[in-house]
Formats: sequence, C-alpha cells, structure tokens
Amino acid sequence: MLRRAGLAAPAAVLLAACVPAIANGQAPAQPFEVRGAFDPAASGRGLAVTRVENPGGGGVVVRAPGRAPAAFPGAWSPALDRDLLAYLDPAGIRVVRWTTGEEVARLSGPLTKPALDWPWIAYVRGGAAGGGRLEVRHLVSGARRTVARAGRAADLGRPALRAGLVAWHVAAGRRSQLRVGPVRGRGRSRIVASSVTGLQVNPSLANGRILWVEHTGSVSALRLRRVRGGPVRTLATLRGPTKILWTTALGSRRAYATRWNTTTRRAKLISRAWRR
Amino acid sequence: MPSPERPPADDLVDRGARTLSHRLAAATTRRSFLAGVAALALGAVGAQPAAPRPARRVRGTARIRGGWFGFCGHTWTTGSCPSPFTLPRVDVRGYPVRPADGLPVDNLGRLIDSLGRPVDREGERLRAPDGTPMPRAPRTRLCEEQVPERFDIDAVTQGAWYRCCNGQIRKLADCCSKSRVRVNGDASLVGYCRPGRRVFCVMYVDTGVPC
Repeated sequence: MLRRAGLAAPAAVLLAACVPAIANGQAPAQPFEVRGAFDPAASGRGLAVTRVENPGGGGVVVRAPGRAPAAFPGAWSPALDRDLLAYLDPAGIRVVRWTTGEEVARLSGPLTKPALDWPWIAYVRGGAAGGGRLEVRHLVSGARRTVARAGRAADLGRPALRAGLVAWHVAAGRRSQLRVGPVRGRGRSRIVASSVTGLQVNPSLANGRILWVEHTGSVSALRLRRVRGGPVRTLATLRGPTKILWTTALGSRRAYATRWNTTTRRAKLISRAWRR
Repeated sequence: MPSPERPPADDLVDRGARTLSHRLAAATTRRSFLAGVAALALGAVGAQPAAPRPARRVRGTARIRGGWFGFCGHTWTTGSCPSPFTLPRVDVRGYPVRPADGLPVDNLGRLIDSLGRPVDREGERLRAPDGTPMPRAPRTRLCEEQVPERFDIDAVTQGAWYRCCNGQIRKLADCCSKSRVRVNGDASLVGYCRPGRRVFCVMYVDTGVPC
C-alpha cells in the first residue's frame, strides 16, 4: 500500500468509498475539501503532516532527516512514534512502519484523532460530530481503557500520548480544560490549563513539555510549559477570528502548529524553535 | 470684569488643561509617561537609554471624528472592555455581538447559531481542517465574566448614558470595579459608578431606537 509517489487520484476513489462507511457509523469522511498542510505529528526530528495539494486528493507525508519522504495517499490525521505511523483512512485507524510500509496494526470502527506511543494508541471513539469517548489501547495485549467521556455538546480534542502520559482537551461551551493523566492504571487526570472565557485546545507532549493552543478574544497563541508545572512560554500568536492556530506537534527542538483560515479553508504549517 | 464676548481667563485655563489631559490620556499610558521621565533623567546624566518598547495603544482611547474617543458617544478616555473586536459592542445582557451587524458571537469573535456552535456566514458549522466541527467556545459577559478572569478583579455594569449615533440611540455603559487602575493602566475615574467603585472600561449597546 505504501506509495512514495505524488498524492493524487486514489484519494477520489477512497472518498467515494467512504460515504457508505459513514452511513454505517464507520470512520468519518476524509477532509480533503481544504488546501494546504495541517495536523502535524512529530517524533524526535521526524514530522508527519496531512497535505492536500488539490481538492479531493491528499494524504499523509512523513519526513525525517536522512530518510526519503514517504507518502500515504488517502490518509489523514497522522500520529508518529519513531518509525511507526498511525493514521486515519476510510476503514479506521491503520498503524504502519512508515519506512517500509509494513502494516503493524489495524483498528476498525468510528475512530478518530489517533495518537501513538508504541505499544499504546489513543483515539476518540464516536466523536465525529462532538462528544465521544477517549480510549487508550495496548496494541499487543489488546487491553483497552476509557480515559474520558464527553456529551454531544462537548468536544474531546485530538489527544497526545508520550512517556506514559495522555493529554487531551475538553471544550464544553462554558468551560475549556486541558488535562493530563497516566496511560496505565486508574490514576486521576489533572488540569494543566483551564478557562471559562477562552479555549484551550489540541495539546502535544514531548520531552516533559506540553504544547497547546490558547484562544483568548480574537488572539490564538501557541503555549509551552513543563508538564509538571512552571512558567508558560508563548511561541507564536495570531490575531483572528478568521485566522487561528489549531492542531500542534512537539518535536525534539521545534514546535509545530496548523495555521487555519476558516474563511478560505487554507491550512499552513508553522514551526518555532523551542530549544536551541 | 472680563467682557462678555471673551471667555474668562479661568475658563481658558480650564479648557486648555482639559484638552491637554485628553491628549495625554489618549496618546500615552503610564508606562510611556514614565519612559519619558526616565529619558529626561538619563539625558541629564549623559547616559544612553535602552531601546524603548512601542507604546501599547489602548482600544477606545484614540480621538475620532466628531470629538469622541474610540467610538461614537464615548466622551472620556477610559479604554474599551476586552472584546474580540476593536469595538466593545454588547447586547442588552452584556454578551458580545459583532459590531457591524449586531449578530451574536462567542468570546473568540466567531458567529454562532442558536446552540452556541460556531458557524460561517451561510450558517454552516465551522469545521477544522480534518472535517470535524470546531468546538464551541464560551460566550460570556464582557464586564461580569471576561474582565474578572483576564484582570483578576471584580467588575459589574453600573453607570449608563445615552447618545444618538448612526440614527439610533446608543446606550454607553461603565464596567465598574473596586480597582484603582483602569484598563488603560493608569488611575481609574469615578464616572457613573456607585460609591466605592470606579470605571474600569466601557462598552455600548445599540438599542435600535431611532433618534
């Protein structure tokens, strides 16, 4: 299935194929009505991103120093952990070794927003229209645990998974929280950031840090701090409300975020050095 | 006795002082005033100052056409309450609306539907790049909720006055607090607040009543 060629025609076929899947409560439609690069995922100095050059055609592209880029047409919402890549396709979540294309795991059903830290994977079940359950699953043993639930009026954001921790956001209209909890066991999650007037969304974890986007008024800001606490750094700001920062990824030296224009539906990746 | 055609000298002095205070309050913050004093002191001893940071313009303090400050009907220099837009327009209950047309917006300035979900100009749900609907953001009152969270002070809407703007009656309201510092960063004024409170910031409601 791995193709290193351009991202083109098969996506249109996949788009047509996924329509009955949505009707059956399977994976959601792929997002290729937009243009640009979005939803970054980082691991060390490797970076995966959903890239759409032409409406109707797109996929996930993985780049890492010293390696040839790998393209996965018809895929979106990547999560990266060294040489393993998880992504969404019309059948659900697929985990592959991106350097060879070998399939490592396959999870079917209405699953979205994967995050990967082998052998753990986190995803949102049934959250295509808001709400849903955040689950973590051990891909070797098959053990599964529900980390958080949200009603239809709330949004469980794209989770992050690193070093035994899972981070996610809950946006429920009157409150917005960023939470971090342990992947294993029954330990309680704790609130990293919260607001009753703004929005804290889309965290990423790496190197003991947490990166997220904070919307206050018409300004969205890319924030970084240590998971265990400490001062908050602002890496980038953008004045909206039509242009916002959205999903994030944290590499070993650089922080990434999607810059999203809700009016023109164009997405762009920005990056900032967070460690020299 | 001064002649009736000429204003008394005291009036001239008062008017000059008032104009000067308007200019100062509109163009400077306390920080920029102190920066000016520091520059004078450094000049006196022949030292080089560090590069100054550009002064932050407080919304609602710039003099505009008609002699108002920031927006039509605003007669003094207190800045606007924090709003997703330049103009602090709210509905009758104090929730943010879009200044251009009065449509309800959330705290991020996005148009919303009756369930509070962000929508585009056509009323369709706003979506993230991956096709999932964008989450709802809070919609809270500018004075009673947004000011306390952002500035860590208590605040309540108290004073109000009325002006005729764009052919309709505009209600201007003071967001009052016990803080002695206003949103501009300098000393707050008593304004129309009840005893013990001072004006922290201002906002307005367009009533739709013709005038």
